[in-house]
Amino acid sequence: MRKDVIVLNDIWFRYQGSQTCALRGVNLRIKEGELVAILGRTGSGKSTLLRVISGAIPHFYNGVLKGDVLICGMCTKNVKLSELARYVGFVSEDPEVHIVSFTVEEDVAFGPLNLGLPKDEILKRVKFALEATRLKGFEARNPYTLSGGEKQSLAIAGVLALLPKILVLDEPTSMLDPSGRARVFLVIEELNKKHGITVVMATQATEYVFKKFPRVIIMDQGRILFDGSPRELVKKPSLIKAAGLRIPQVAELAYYLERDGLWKGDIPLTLDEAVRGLVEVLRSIKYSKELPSKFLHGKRSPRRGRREIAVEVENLYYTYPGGIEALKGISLKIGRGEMVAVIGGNGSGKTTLARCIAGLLRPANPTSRIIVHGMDIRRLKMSEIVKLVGYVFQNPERQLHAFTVYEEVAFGLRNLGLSSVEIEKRVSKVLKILGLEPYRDEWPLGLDRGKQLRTALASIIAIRPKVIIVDEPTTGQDWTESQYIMRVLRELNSQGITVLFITHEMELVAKYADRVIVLHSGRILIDGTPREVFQRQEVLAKTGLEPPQITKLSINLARYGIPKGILTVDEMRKCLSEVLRYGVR
Amino acid sequence: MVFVEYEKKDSFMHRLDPRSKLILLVTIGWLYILYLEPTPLIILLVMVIILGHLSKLPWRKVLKRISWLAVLITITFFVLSLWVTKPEMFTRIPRELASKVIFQITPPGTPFLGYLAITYGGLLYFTACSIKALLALLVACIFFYTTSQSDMIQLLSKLRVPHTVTFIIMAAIRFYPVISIRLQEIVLAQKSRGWQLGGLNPVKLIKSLVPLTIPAFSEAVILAERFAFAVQCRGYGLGKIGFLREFKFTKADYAFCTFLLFFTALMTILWYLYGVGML
Repeated sequence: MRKDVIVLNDIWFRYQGSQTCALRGVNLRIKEGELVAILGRTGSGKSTLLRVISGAIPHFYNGVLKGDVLICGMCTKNVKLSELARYVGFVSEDPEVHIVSFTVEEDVAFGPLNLGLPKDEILKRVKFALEATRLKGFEARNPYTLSGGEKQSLAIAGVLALLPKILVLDEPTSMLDPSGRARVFLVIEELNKKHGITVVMATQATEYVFKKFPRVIIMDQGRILFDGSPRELVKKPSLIKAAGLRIPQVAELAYYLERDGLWKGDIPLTLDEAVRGLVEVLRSIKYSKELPSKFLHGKRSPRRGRREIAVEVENLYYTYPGGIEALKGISLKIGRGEMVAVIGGNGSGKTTLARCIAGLLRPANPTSRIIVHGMDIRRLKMSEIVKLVGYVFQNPERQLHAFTVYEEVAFGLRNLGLSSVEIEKRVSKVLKILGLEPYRDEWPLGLDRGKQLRTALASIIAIRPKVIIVDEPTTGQDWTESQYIMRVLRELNSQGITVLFITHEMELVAKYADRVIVLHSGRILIDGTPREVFQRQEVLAKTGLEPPQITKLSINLARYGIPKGILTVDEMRKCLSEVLRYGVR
Repeated sequence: MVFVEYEKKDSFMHRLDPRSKLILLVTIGWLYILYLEPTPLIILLVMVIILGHLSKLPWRKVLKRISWLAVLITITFFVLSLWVTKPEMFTRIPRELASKVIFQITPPGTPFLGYLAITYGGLLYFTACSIKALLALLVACIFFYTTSQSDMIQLLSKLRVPHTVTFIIMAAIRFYPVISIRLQEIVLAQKSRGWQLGGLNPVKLIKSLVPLTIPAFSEAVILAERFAFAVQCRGYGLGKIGFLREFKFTKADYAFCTFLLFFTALMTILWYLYGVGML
């Protein structure tokens, strides 16, 4: 029988200086070799729980800890953090904080060297860790030259070389592009299956969790709200809603169909299960193959072509000082009031393109042209550009500096020399739009990440630019917050503001974008409506991107007359409802 | 960076133990201090150029990197050489020749500046100092180009620099690119909200730096905290840090160091007995 390697008995924890408890009476037992996902909203206590398991609490983070934490039978209070490293490996969302040395091999060897092991043993462990994380052949590479997914794999290899029994990962894929995520998930799965390592991972990637993890824990307000299998979880839609969780689109679809009396079986967890279930149903009825496709006519048509031009980019090349060619001759036109998603793998040139449009990077090539609302960006001063293009950065904490949310939002307006009456008017309005009124006098850096992003966004919206560019608004955000930000952007867009957003979340692209620009190696690979782009799976695969799960479902059901370009659960639901209601059994 | 960065290559200098390269720095440094006359410095310069060749130094890149600094240093030494006018400053070359004026700039007794002139001695001093500057820059380039950062850290450790200090230096070198990129992000983020540096007024200038310093400080604290936790999670602090691949003093190192020490000793004796290298 497998023994418990993690035992938490009635854990309460309150951070120093905080009034509320981050963990409230958590009881948890995890057996050797288990694969456990921790889900929940931002601020639900996931990270604190992982810190308790890894020993960071009480050894690194100060606060009041009550209850016993036993790791491999040892009480963490009585063991040094560096000693615990032999049993628990911890990997955070930012792989760069884990890099210690100057080559991949030296970096992986750092842990075993600290243990004072003989050289042969160290080399053996380094070899094992590199092979297990698919980094064999990277030994002499500088860690900074690795891709995001490779860097995170290196962070895992670094702790793996200590041969821990438990691997604790805090949102390890939140900063990665889809191919990086796939790489890290594969490594984690192999470590658990092949090497029997117990894995406890906090994540927002529920599609993967529902597919691969046999055990899911949901945290909410410092408590465990649910502990069981994904199969049990999907039977509790109200709980999923209460926890603000994102569930696989196929499960969401099945809920709707079940409610309408059109789905009888188990709620599917994966695409394969949904395809199997739906094929069975569709085969059992007779219907006109034109019936479902009729439904899509006139939906989500492109808004280009009949609008004035907001952004025009011509022959844009950009090379960074180190010699990296980020953009290689980009030309595009964006109409006023379009909502455009810019997607692509890490290093494809998305951010560079956006920053060139925002005038933050100036291309050296004299033939490059960037025109925004008829003005040549290259000839304008920054104070003039910000009135035309607003740019919201990926990491809000890297720009927040004021002591109150109000002052932070007013910062840009003061820089533009607006009167205090006008500033008050604009800031109050924007705070209301973004639901930040209750936090008006709070310290922005003390807010959760979602509110920080809202504050950064508010400070740009207040300037009232004609074009807003948002760089990865969903990074590090939970699903509820991501949806909120996207709704705000959609609302601004409906008021005539042109919006460009960069993201790795294809569900959001499908739901909110009018147009998708796919970049690959500094060039435009595809430019079209989400429906057009997501049907070209094989081209998208070049960039490591995949269509949303619901679009993949529609592609899989194409031979049953379901149109290939379905973008949202709602579209699929209506489409299937037509067939299931009017088809003849 | 002023000097060229380390590149992994298979060259004579790359293969040498970093301790040998340290001996090179020390011996050249010693002769650098000793010599004031161009002729022996030219010999040293030729030797260093040969070493540069043995290091497969990318000359074009090196000259591009050091040229502006070399020009700056040359101008500085030229200006300084204008004060080299007194015959008692010279011991080896005839004082009459050394103090012979080619072009007088200010007459003796000029307030603040004093007597300024271009003399033969001054020109020799200027030439020697310029060669010395070039020599120092090239030796530094060879050292940095052929010694990896981890070798430098190990070198510090071999020199018995305390383990904690070595680790702090390692972390600082390692974090430099991360912090530099994140600082650039902060500047761009504030620029995107119309921020500008506050001009020449010192009060306005300092005030305008607040939107940069607060996020930069907060970012640095977060990074340091996460890094400290990450290294403890990898057993840091359990014992003295070791190195995966320890240096090895080979026959080539012994030969190289013997040559360097012999050459330095010889040149020092010549300087001491015959005044070689003195002005």
